[in-house]
This record gives sequence, structure tokens and C-alpha cells, in this order.
Amino acid sequence: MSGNYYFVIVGHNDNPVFEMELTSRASDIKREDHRHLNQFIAHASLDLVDEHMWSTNAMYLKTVDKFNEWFVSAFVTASRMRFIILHNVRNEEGIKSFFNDVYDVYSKLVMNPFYKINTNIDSPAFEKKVNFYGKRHLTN
Amino acid sequence: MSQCLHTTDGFIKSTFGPRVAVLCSQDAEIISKRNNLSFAELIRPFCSINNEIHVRDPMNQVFTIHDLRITVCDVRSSQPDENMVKQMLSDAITDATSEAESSQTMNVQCNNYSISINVACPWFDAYREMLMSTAPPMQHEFISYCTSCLLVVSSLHPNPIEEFANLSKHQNHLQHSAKCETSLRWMTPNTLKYYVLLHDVSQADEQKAKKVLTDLQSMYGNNACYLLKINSKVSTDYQNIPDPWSRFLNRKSKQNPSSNGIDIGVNLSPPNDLDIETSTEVHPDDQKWMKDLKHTVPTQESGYGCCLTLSDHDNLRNFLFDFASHGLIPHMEKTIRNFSEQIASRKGIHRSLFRATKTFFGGGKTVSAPALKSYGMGGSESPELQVRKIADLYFLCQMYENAYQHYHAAKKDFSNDQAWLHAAGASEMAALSNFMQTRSQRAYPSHYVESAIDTYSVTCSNDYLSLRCALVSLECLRQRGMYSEAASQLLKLVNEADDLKSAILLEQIAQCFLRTQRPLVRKFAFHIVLAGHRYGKALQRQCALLCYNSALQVYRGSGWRLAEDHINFTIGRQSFNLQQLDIASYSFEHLIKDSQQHPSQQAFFMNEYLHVSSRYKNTTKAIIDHVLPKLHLEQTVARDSPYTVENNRQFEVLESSIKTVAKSPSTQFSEQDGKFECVVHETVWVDICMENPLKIALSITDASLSVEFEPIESLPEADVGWSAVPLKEVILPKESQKIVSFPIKTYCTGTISVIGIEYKLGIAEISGVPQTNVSSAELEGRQLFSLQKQNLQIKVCAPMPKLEMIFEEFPTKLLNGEIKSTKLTLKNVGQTDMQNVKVACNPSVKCMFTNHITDFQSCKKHFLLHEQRPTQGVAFVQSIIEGKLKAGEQIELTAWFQGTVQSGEQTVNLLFYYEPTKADSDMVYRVMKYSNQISTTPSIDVNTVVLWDNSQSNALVSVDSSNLSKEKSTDFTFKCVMSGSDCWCLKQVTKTIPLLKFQQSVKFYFQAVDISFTPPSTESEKSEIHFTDHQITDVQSQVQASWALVSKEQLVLQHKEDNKLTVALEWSVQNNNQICTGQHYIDMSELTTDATSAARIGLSQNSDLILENNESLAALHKLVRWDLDFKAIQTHDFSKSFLCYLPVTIQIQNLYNCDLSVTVDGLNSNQSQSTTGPIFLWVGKALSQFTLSPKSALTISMTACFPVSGIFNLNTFSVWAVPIHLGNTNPMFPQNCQYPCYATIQDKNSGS
Repeated sequence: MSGNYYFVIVGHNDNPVFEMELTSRASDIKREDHRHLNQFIAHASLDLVDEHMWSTNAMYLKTVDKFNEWFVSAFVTASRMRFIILHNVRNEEGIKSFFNDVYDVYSKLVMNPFYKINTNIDSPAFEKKVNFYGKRHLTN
Repeated sequence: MSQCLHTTDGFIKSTFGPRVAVLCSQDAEIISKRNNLSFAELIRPFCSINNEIHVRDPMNQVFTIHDLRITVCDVRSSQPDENMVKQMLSDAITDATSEAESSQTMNVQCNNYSISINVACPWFDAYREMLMSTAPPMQHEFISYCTSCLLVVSSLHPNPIEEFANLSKHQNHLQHSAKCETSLRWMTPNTLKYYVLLHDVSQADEQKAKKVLTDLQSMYGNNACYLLKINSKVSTDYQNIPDPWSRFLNRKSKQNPSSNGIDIGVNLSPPNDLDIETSTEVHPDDQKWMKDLKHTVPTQESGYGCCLTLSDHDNLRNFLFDFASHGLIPHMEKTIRNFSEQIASRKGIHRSLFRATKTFFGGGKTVSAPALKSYGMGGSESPELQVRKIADLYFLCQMYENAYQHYHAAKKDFSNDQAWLHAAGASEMAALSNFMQTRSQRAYPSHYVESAIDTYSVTCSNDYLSLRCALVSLECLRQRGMYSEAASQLLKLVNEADDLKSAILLEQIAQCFLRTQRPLVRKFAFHIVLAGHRYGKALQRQCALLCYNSALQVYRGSGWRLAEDHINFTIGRQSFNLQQLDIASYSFEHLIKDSQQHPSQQAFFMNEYLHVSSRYKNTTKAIIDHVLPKLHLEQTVARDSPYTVENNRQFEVLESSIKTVAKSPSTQFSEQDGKFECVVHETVWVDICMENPLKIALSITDASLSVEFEPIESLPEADVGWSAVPLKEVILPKESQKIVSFPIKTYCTGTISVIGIEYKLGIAEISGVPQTNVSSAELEGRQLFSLQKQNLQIKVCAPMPKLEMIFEEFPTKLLNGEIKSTKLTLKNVGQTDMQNVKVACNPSVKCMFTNHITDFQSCKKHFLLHEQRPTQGVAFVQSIIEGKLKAGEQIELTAWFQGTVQSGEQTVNLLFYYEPTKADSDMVYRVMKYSNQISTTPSIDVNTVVLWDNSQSNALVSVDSSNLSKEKSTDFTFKCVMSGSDCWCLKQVTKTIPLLKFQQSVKFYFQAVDISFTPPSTESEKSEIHFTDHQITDVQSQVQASWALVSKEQLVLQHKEDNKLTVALEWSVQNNNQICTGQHYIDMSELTTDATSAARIGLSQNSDLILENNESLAALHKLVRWDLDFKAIQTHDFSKSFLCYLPVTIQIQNLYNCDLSVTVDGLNSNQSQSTTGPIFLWVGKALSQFTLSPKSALTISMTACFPVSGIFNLNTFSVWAVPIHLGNTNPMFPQNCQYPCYATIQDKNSGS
């Protein structure tokens, strides 16, 4: 399944704590000068994410926003950390599993007493895991 | 968002207001031109009629028209083409923005965001107004058709009646000629003509005008004629008249109102200048008087309406009210009545017939081009169009309920006919008429508008209509607070093609997001960024800047770095383009301050920053405050020697240690106030730690310190008291820290405060970034420190001595244990004398300073002694010059260094201390720091086994030594072993030791003898044993160096002459044609375990207390030791005598420095309990009591008596001892020295 994905975990102060771009090999052309657009779209979708999360019991909110060719799907954890994915292809099942797996890894990360919540995640292990799940569920 | 100018109601009324054409004669135009206005422009501000007008519908029901807004349009004006419209729209925005002041602001607080934006958005209003006024003519909407025409002739005209007739003819020609050129369309075939006689009060004859009016009234009826008096102002009197025109007119012409031509611009002002008038109504005969008129009419004054008085304004207002109430509205009322009759009569047959034909013919091809479906525009109009027309008229007459009914009907019909454009128009107007009803039964049908917008934009792709519809709808929804609906409507119209339109819409969308019930701040931020982006593309830089600045309120410091950088970069770029260089410089500063971008991007940002800020500096002469590189001011140090010394912490320890040692009554250390002290006429260096956080290398050129100097004594004029040479260039590699040293030379005592650095910042050439991105631009600027920093103040003191030191050759490479000397020259280069020179080094370093005549022989003893010193301590202090060293004098010393036993790098920190001889100097002492590295390589390894004699006064030492050197040609020669204790002598065992070759081992022995116990008996016992035939040279000069070791707690550790024995093993090796000599040490410290320090166990003379601890108790049982001397094998003939006597000499030694009372008791021996073998007895004097003076030994004799042969342990007597000064209070302590001493008694008989 090809497509481009941009994954970000947003903290309580709307601050990004973890970012990752996931691209499949087929569409590997990285558009360096448009990377800020991802941030803009993800940040703008927070308004709708915050609205949607009260309307459902599920953590996975499906597609909440759309801008040009980008869809925005979201997942809100129990501690109200917001996982957001920008994607230009529809892949609901894959995104759902990706979110669940990353939530698992994230929960483990939070249990690390040296990690302070809402701060930037710079654990290489976490990054590796997310990348792995990204490959498995999204860009394989 | 639009807040000014219009209410929603007013906006809709002026957008969809009755349209009136104006046809002016040339002379009338000239008269109005005196006010720098055309006639149409002249009456324009008075077109909104506030008085109520009554109107009746066909059912004779009376309605009231409030706030009628008439749109006037000059017949002569032509529709501007598309590009011109674009230009006009763009200009309108530019003008509106440049005039917009930061007006009222609105604050939105939501979550953690706080945003303030301007309430007014004047460029949006300007854009909307311009858009509406430049609307292309719409065929399907009758609402913009002209209902009447004003014919204007001036009273100055020689024949006004004829001119009126001409104009009327011309109007007829325009309306009914097939090739009509103007963009105007007419509502009805018989347009209402209204005759206006324009009377210039100051120029024309009023009587004549009145006569003409009466003529007119008789010809055209009372209600169709009007005498309009203007220009009554006498040129001299000055009145402050309000100017209602400038709001409507092109801003450019306002700036330059004296220009004759009126720009093609707002509100369909006539494009044709009067000079180039070519139209038919001007007769050649008239040309002459026309020219005269032009010349006679004075046009000296400037400003709109300059010839009008307030009463003229009232005249204009009255004229328009009169026109509306007597001309326009009755005409429309009549038209409505006619139409409704027509419709009623045609309803029966026509429509059904029409529909039948239509369904019959148009079966299959409906969908192909539905939007283009048009109705015949000729004489006979289709009933649907008539319905639409009557609806439009109802709307214009503000009979909104009727209008709604008809629009609704028309909409149905049009959709049935699949005339989508018409249907969309009707549904848009239906929604509006619903909105305009103040008390409507129905809810506002926003879906009507939505479908209209969709049809306009998708089906018809008519940009203007969709935009107009959306903008009107925005107003309606805004009034109803339906902001999110408005946003989604507008969002549909944002497209790739039209940047300006999209920008305007996106900005409004963003504003809508901010005004929803729960403000969607983040959506706002994103859309305002998009709007800014489009404004930028449309070259509306001011607007772009405003948008991005609003967005920055949300994104600043939010952590979305790429987004923030993008905003900052755009703000920087746009401000730069707008010549707002300070803002540009500030924005770029943000970009480079803490950037996390890629190196190439950073180089790009840096480049921009340098360029923009340079321009800013050059144009405004501002001083740039650099943000890069980062300064770590807490690490700033000042020093008075040119060598940079790392490891400052260590030197601090050394300095306080040396002060402890040097403390003498004469030297009192004053409390330092934290200021660094330097000496006048010397150079002081300030080290500042700079950090380059970027991924590109930076260069700093022409850097110098900004210094404030406060002299103590008044300076001679022209003397600044200090000088500094700027540093030429410093390269800061990427992501690194660097210490940069700034030298300052002082000329005068006082205080120097370093307040900042001045330098030029640039990008270094070597940065791994494509060269094209790297500029040679350098930016001059500075960085200021906060003044509170104490360590940036330097006190300049009066002249002092200054020590300079040169090592001839510092031994950077040593073998383990190697001792090497180098010449050291100390010179006083200062201005006064110095004394009390000391040096401190870290205690792990083995070094020594002696006068230059001292040779190795005398020195090695000292290294041996130092080896015995306590190992704890933080600094090792030596005194090197006791006397004075006068200014300019120098002294040569020898410095000895010994390699450590472990191989590796070792840092040598030397701190030289000296005092001025003058007592009242500013500085009590000065120090000089020296730091270097010694690397040691393996030489030999020494393993020893010490075999003790029973009495512990005699030991055999076996030494295993192996060559560990890495170099093949190194053969070690053992030269001698040397005892470091006065009490111990060495005795040769192995005579010669072979050469220790590469990777070989050697074993040899020697013996150590305690001479305090047994005095040296033979020649062979001496303090040194030489293994080579090297001549023993007497030590001629004793080294007199005094030294001290300072502990962590800054206490001088006492050097004690313990009974500790260390033996030095001296070797030499030929290494690179040099003979190196070294020492290894054998620690025989087991010796000292016996004699625990007397003080530690409380055995000092003046104390009669015994410390109750394990150590002292154990020691009290080991106060003495003894040795037995007897014939080890005694042969006795038991057949002759039953008892065998053996004399035994017992030597008892006091181990302590106090008198002991000792009892040796052979009677109460405890041998019977411990031994199972045969027993013996002490006979004769078996009990002796005596006193042992400190450290002395005593010999007593006893006799053992053996009844049988056998092997006996003679050490069975008990010894009791107590220090005499404790004897009164304590019993004697039994002494433990129970090692076995066997005597063999043989029976002569059994042996044979």
C-alpha cells in the first residue's frame, strides 16, 4: 500500500512531542520545502480532534479533517495525548492498527521514570518501534 | 472582518439598489467639474435617501421604503475589462491597507492561546465595494437594469430646451439601437426620463433658469423636471464643508485632486475626458461657446465640492429625494402594476402552451448546456422572466414578501426548465428577500444560497456571481452568528487561479473560525497563514505581513518548529520587501537563534539574516545585537599569563593550598571581592567561551571587547588607560564550543569592566554547504553582557613583580620510574622585587626543584624520601627561592621529574606563588600557572618477596624484576639499592646482577637489617649496596629543599619520621643514545605495623589515659619485642648428669618513645598448658624486673634446665610491660611475642 504519512504525537499544550514521516519506497520523493505544511495541517486539525473526542467512546477517531489531498486521522489516548496522522490514501484498518500498536509502545515509554510527560521523545528505541509499525501497517 | 461602513441591511440595499443612468450635456459636466467631480460623482454621496417614501403594491396596499439607496451610473462610462478590474481590485486593497491604522483590536482567549486581531478589515470592505461596482452586466438579473435616466443640462447652455431634447433622443438611441455600445441595460422600454437643469449660482442668470424650468415643466410634466442649484460659494469666503465624496472616489485622484482628468476608477465615472468628446450630441456650432465656457469657468480651487456650500448640499439632497419620491418610485410602482396585470392575463394560456412546446421539442438534449439556456430577450419576454422582473422590482421597492413569492415561483419555473443560471439567481434572491424581511415566518434558507453558489461556480463557472453571492451570504450568516457555515461556504470558492480572491476569502474564513462559539484558534492560525501566503503571491505584502503576524501569535514557541520557521521567514522576507528592516532583521534573528533545520537551510537563513541585518544597519545606523554565537559567560575567566590553562578547579585547590603553607604573620590575605586583579602595564587576557549551536561553521572577525574603564587616578588627556588589538578571525566549527581569548593592555590603575564583545559575524568558508549558498557577507554588531557579572570586572593594580618561567626542555616522555632533570629559568620581569617563591603541584606528580649544582646522587635520596610521605593530600608545596628576586633578575634552577609507576598520560599542574617585597601592595601575592602533560611508557616491573626473621629485625628480600619495555634495544642495568630509613641498613646477598635484557627477568636478593636493634657489626651493612663497580661517591651536598603536603581540608600534613622502610632500586638504561636513570621502590611497610604511632594509641608522655579502642589495646600488648640467643643444638650426656643446663640470652627492645617498666617471668611460664611434649624449667634468676628507656634494648641472661633430651620451645617465659607514666593506674600488660624458638637437646648416649 503506497502513500505518504506524517505521524505526530501532540502533547497537552498542543506541542509536538514526537514527529515522523513515513513514506513508502514507491513515493520516496521527499518534498523538503513542504515539510512545514504537514505541521500546519496537523496543528490545524487539533480543533476538530478536540471536538470529535467528546462525541465517541472510542480512542480512534477515524478521519477528522481534510486539507487538499491530505486526510487527517486521529487517536486520543486515555491521558489525552493526541496521535495524529496525515495521509494521502485511505487506509482505515492500517491506521487503526498502527495507532493501537504505537499506543502500546507509548504506554511503555510513559512508564519510564526518566521520561517526563509532555516532553519531546528522543528515545531511539521508541523511534525504531514506531518506524517498524509504520512499515508494517502503513507503507509496506 | 468587515465591521465598518455598512450594516448588513444597508450593504444588501446598496448592492441591490435601483440603478439610475445619468446623461449629461457637456456644459453641465463643465459646471460640475468646478468641484473636481463629474455630475454622477457629485450626486453620489446623496443617493442614499433617509426619508421614508410610500409605495403601493398592485393590491393597493401601502408599503414604506426606508433607506433607499440609488446607484447612479454615467451612461458614458464603459465597462472596464477583466485585467483592469483585477488591477483596480488590487489597487483598492493596497490603498486601504496603507491607510489602515491599527484600530480597535479584538482579543480572543481560548485554551492556552491569546490572540488579538484588528476588528476592522478595511481592505476587505474596499475589495468588496470595488468588486460590486465593477460588476460585469448580468443579463439574467433585472435588478441591475436601469429604471430611469437623469438628463442634465446646465442653465448656461444657450438653448437648454433643445439640448434636453437632444439628450433624450440620445438616450432613446442608446436603449433601442441594435448596436448599443454601453453596458447599460434598461428595465422597461419606456424609461423614465428626469430632466435636471443644473444651475451654477455664481455664473448663470437665475431668472433665465427659472424660465427654462417653467418651459420644461410645461413640456415634460411637473414631476419630471428639477432645477438644481449648485456652486453658490463665493470664491473668497472660506467654510469648512464636510467632504462626503472622498469615501467613494479613487484614492489616487484624491492625492492629486487638481489633475484634470478623472481616473478610470470607482463607480463608473466617465472615462472620456471632455476634450475628446466625440459623441453625436455635440453640434459643431456649439464648439465655440463651449470653449469659451471652459475658459470662463474658474477652476482654481482644489478639493472635492470646493464650490459648494452647505445649502448646496441640502439642494442636492432635496433633489435626490424629490427624484426618488416623485420620479423613480412612482415609475416603478406603475411598472409593477403593469407587469402584474400582464402576468395575470397571460397566466392562463401562454404558460401551458409554452410548456407544451418546450416538452415537445426539448426532450433529449436538456443536460448538454443547461447553464447557457437563455430566454428570448426581444420584445416578447417569456413569463418566467417576467416573474423574475417583477420580483426584482418588488425587491427594489422593498416589498420583500411579494418579492420572495415571485422569486420562489421563478426559481421553480427556471429549475423545471433546467435554466440553472436563472434558477440560481432566483434562489439567491429568494433567500435574500427572506433575510430582508424583518419579521419573516420562514427560517433563513441558507441552502438556497449554497445551491446558488454551487450552480454559479460549478455549473456556470461564473466567478463573479459565485463570489458576490458568497460575500452577500457571508454578511447574512454573520448577522445570524452562523460563522462555521459561512466559513464552509467561502471555502468552496478558494481556488488556485485567483490569488487575491483566495487570499481575501481565506482571511475571512480565518476570522470566521475565530468568532465561532468555541473559537477554533488553530484552524484560524492555519487559514490565516494560507491567506498570508496567497496575499504574498498576489503581491499584497502588507496584508501578507499582517496575516503572518496574527498567525505567529499562535505558533510562537509552540514547538512546531518548521511551521514557526516558515512564518518567521515569510515575515522577514515580506518586511524586507516593505523596507521594514528592523522587523525583518528581528524575524531572521529568530530563525538562526535556535535553529533545528538542515545545514543547508541554516546556511540559507544565516545568509538572509546577514544580508537583511547589514542593510538594516547601513540604512538606519542601528547597532546590531548579535544572538550568535551563544556566550557562556559563567565560564569567563581572566588571566595574566598568555598560556591558556584548563582545569581551573585544580588550580584553585593548588592556590588555596599554597596560601595555607605560605601563611606567615607578615602575609595577611585580604578577603577578595571577586574581582580579578591584574597589574598595570601588563597584558591581561579575557577568555570567553562561545558556542556555535548551528550545523554550519561561523566566522568571527575583528572581534574585540567593549570595555568601560574607571581610572583610580585622573588620567592624562588622550590616554584611554587601556588598548586592545582586535582578533583577526576566529572560526567556530559547527555545534561546538570554543574559548576565545581577548588581550587587553593596561596603562593605568583602575577598574576595567568588560561589558560586551564587538565583532563581525559571518559564515565560515569551510562548512560543507554548497558554496553558492555561502556569502561573504559579514555583519558588524555586538553582544552585551549583563553588568551584574562580577567576573567580568578586572582591577588594575599598581606595579608588581612578575615571574616568568622557561623550561629548557620539559620532559614530556618518561619511562616508568625514570628521573629526568631539566633546566628551569625563573625571571622577574615585573617592576618590583619578589620574595618567598613557592611552587605547588598535584601530589601525584613527582617533581622537585633544586639549585642547579645539585646532582643526581643527592637527588635520588630525596625522591626516595618523598616516596615515604603520606599518600593522601591534594597539593604538594615546595619552597624554591627563600630570598629576594629583584626586578629584572633571573635565577636558574633544576627541575627533576620522575615518571609514575603506571604508564599513561599524566597532567602536571604547577602553580608558582610569589609575594612582592613591598608590604602595602594592592596584591598580597601573585601566582603563575603552568600545565603540561607527561606520558610515561613501561620500563621494568619489580615484584618483591620479603622474608622476615622471627625477631622482625632482619629480612631477606627477594626481588623479581622483568623488562617490560616495548623497545628491543633497551637493556636495564641495576645499579644499587638504597634504604630510605636511618634505622635500616642493607646487606649484600647477590653480588652481581646480570643485564636485564629485552623481555627477560632477573632475580636477586639483599638483606635488610635493623641497626637500632642490632648495631652494624660488619662492613657489609650500609645504607646503599652497589652492584656495579661504580665508584661510591660521597654525597657532598644535602638537598635542603623544604616541602609540605596539604590535605583536602587545607591542613599541612605533618611529616613524621616513622619507622617505615622503603627501599629504592636504582637502574639505568641506554635509550636513544642517552643514559636514563630511574628508581623503583620497594615498600616494606609490614615493618611499621608493629610500631603504631604512639600518639594514636594515647602513649604520649603527658597523657595517662589509655584510649579504649582495639588498636590501642593490641598495641599495648606489643610494647616490646625480644630475641633469644642460645646454642641451638646442645649435646648432653644424661648418663653423667640428669639435668642439662642451657644459657639463654634474651634481648628486649622497647619499641616506643617512652619509658617502660618490664617484667620477664620464667617462673609463671605457661608452657605446660600449651605444649604436650617434654617440659623444661627456667632455673637461676628466672624473674627480672627492670626499666627500659625509650627505644633502648637490654640483655638479660637466664638458664634453661632440661631433664630429658628432645626439642623444646624456649620462648615460653612471659613478659609483662607497662609505660611508666601509666604504671600507677594500670596493671602490666602481657606481651605477645610468642614465636617458637627451638632448642634441640641431644643425649650423647643415644646418639652414638
